[in-house]
Amino acid sequence: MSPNRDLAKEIRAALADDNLKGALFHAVSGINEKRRGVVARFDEYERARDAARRIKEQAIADLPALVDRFRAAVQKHGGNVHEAADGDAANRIITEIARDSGAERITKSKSMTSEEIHLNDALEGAGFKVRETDLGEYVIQLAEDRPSHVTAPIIHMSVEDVRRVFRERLGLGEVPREPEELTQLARQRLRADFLAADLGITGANFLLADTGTVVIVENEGNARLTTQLPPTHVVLAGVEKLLPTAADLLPFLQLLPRTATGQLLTSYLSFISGPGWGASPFHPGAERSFHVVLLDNGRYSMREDDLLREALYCIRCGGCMTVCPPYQVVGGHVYGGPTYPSGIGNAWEAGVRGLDTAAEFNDLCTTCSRCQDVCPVRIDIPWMNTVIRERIAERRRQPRGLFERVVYDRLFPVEEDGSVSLSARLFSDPRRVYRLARRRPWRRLMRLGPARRALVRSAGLAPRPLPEARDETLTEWFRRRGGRLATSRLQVERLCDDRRGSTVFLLADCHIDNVDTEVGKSAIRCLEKFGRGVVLVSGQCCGRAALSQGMLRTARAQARELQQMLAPVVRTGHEIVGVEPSCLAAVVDDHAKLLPGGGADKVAARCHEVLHFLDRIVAASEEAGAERWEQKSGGEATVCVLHGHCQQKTLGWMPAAIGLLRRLPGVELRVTTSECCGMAGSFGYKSDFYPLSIEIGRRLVDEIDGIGADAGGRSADGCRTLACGTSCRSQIGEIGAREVLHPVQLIDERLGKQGDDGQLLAQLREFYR
Amino acid sequence: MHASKPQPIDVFASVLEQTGGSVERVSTSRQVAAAIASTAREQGVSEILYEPCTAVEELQIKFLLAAHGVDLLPVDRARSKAPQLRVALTGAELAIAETGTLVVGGKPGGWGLASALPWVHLVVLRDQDVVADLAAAYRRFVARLRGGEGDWVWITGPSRTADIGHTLVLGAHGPNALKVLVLQ
Repeated sequence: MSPNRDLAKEIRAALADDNLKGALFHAVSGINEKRRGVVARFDEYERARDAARRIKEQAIADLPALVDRFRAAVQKHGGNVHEAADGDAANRIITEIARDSGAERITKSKSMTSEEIHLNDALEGAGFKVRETDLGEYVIQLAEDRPSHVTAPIIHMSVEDVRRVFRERLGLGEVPREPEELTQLARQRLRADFLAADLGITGANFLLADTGTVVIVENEGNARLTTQLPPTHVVLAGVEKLLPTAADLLPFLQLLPRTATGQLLTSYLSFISGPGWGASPFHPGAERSFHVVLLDNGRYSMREDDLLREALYCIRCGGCMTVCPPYQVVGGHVYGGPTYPSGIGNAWEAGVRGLDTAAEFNDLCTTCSRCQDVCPVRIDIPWMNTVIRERIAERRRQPRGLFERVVYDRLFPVEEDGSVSLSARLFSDPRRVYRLARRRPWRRLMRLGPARRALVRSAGLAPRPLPEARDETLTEWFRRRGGRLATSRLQVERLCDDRRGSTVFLLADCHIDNVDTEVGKSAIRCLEKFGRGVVLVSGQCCGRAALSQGMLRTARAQARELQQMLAPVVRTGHEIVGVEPSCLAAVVDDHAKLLPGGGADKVAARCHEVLHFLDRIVAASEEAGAERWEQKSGGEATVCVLHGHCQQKTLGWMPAAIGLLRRLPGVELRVTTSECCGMAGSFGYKSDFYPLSIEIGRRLVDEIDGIGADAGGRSADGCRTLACGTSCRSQIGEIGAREVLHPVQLIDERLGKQGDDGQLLAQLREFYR
Repeated sequence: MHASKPQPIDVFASVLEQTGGSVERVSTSRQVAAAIASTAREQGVSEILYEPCTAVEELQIKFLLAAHGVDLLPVDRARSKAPQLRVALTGAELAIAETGTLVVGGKPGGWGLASALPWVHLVVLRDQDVVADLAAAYRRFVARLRGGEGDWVWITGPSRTADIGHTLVLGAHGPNALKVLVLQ
């Protein structure tokens, strides 16, 4: 962790701040709900995202040419384009423009880029009066605070906070109570600033290279007044804001307002291509002028970096922030750098300030991937943050010591060069943890309080129960039962050619193999009841755990082994089924990134999440004429609340799970909207993040209880909680003190009952005979 | 039987109303003048900031408004008086039904100020200028942008903010009310 910041301490302070938590929770819940609504009603959503992504890729590839094209077009309209290599250069250029135009008072509309280069400090230092006019930015300026979100700068403040700022900083005795009155108070004060200003500075959301047009997206109208009233208009924009042509803007117009605020379009879209016409009515003598300052400040280097380039596609909608589980609790001042908050902030801070700045908060990314799902340009933020984590670790790594080489390397080898801590060695491979936990001497030792506490402390672990390894693994149970087991590529190959029945390959991930063995057993029984012969693929870790430690070399080695093991399946066209969503996500999503060109995409195409797979079977049987698998049980249905696992949601496996469970006899299904349980693999076990993890989890449990209570007014005990992730189950189970089932356990149980009636199973057997 | 497709103007009106704007349908000069005068009365003003536009000029409503005791003051003659005027009147080149948006500007003039300064913004829109969907409207718009008309504002509802307490407030810096008079 950085010497400059104590993240654990900042987290504790944020968690103790009820004002912050309340304001943030209220705002992000509202924004997310609106976004979900407008996105669901937008049929072209995915197509627009594809188009936007393609355009951004093209624009960044052609950037130098676009700068030339843009400059020529702006000049044709009578404007000027300046290029600034860094923040100092941009500040100098803008200060000179202000001086040359004889300006004294400057109004500014919201610009994160100006925050990045501390433009206000530079202008004030040169003697200019600068007024931020976006309402949130105005409050920030008065309070000498900094924005904690890219589109909602004071999302961390309550109404009371704003009142205090107005009272103290404006020297007012009486400050109104309501947001409406506070807004009007600010409007009156700022109106005077607008009318007095002789220079206006704005940012830009997009720059259209062919027509030389600056596009500004806003709601308040302050950018309108900033650009219309003063005779001189200066635009400060990151060079990545360029789009090749005006026509390219359409998908961004469709996406940005929807994702940022849940609007179809914002109140104002300004298209400005030059200095406008005639004298400004309030500055009759002054001639109009127009300047665009294109800022590099690390962006061209990001463009050369195969990883960070993707961040240049960002359109600063802030969607990734409002859905980010740690951000939702601690906000952008804790989870963020000096300018850019949250997940995407890692790449931006790494790009414009350097890796050390990103290192200050990178650990707060749980790689839950919920941001990836809302990103209008499909930026793979979790992957960027994982690779940034690796870069940080590689840079800091000391040479391995003698003890490490002699002892640790034998016991827990890793692929990384240099020193790797014991806890990282353990956490990067769950099999090690479980193997150790199953040893009898170890268990005896762990029963001793002091020994456990000492170990927990030295490994930076939180005081919470660790997952308990079962005496008998799923693999052992399966072998005892006489099942077909594959623990090597050769065995997979042999069993692929075994033409008995319709075989599926079930991945025994580390969690169902060691801890949630009952989930694994239910999955096997369900697949069998649905007429499939199961081969259990066991013994190889997917690499997820190493990935979340930023240990990409180890993860790559693990991925390679698992890929080699599964490869024969592609040749024979068999299906692979996975239970733990995070492990399956590693196989279908991350392996291709770890092993480019290694054929992982072919394996991914054969992989299915277990509920997704069962849903397909049921749908196929119905299509073939079997009676619909609808609710036919008599008696009262049980309310079941399903919490989707992060990756299960991101990778689009939820609709099938919901569809399947909705039709399960005797089940009345409800689904949570919380993004994540907060456990996120090892995140919730680390002492630094434990309180944050618990807070995220508690909100989820509150939501589940609320849903349970709403559904038929029954007590929370009357409903069952379902979750697909092993992390989710242990988090909800621990905080909510309840049993949490994987849906396959419920299906297993219900199919068993139906089996007694004989109806449903008979149908299925008939179909698969 | 299938339901008839809703007219773009109806869609426009309902989407605009969802954003906090309002629509009044008018068909004669007399009605336009009456609608403008009624807004002026509500706001207690006798002078309205005005950006000349063909739709209004063709109607020749100046005398009708004078009968109501209302004067139109063009932006280029309003000068420093402009910020004190609570009501402004402009035209719109185009409207987009799907998003409830008015496309204002293109040509030289004071529309930028007239649409941003007042408390109430009145817009005269001809119903044939309403385009059903954003994509089609944007194509038309790009043609004009490329033709050299470089400055515009797209207006979707009144000025708004939710910065304080995540509570929606209209009239943050620009108009608190957006009233569209649709000429049929």
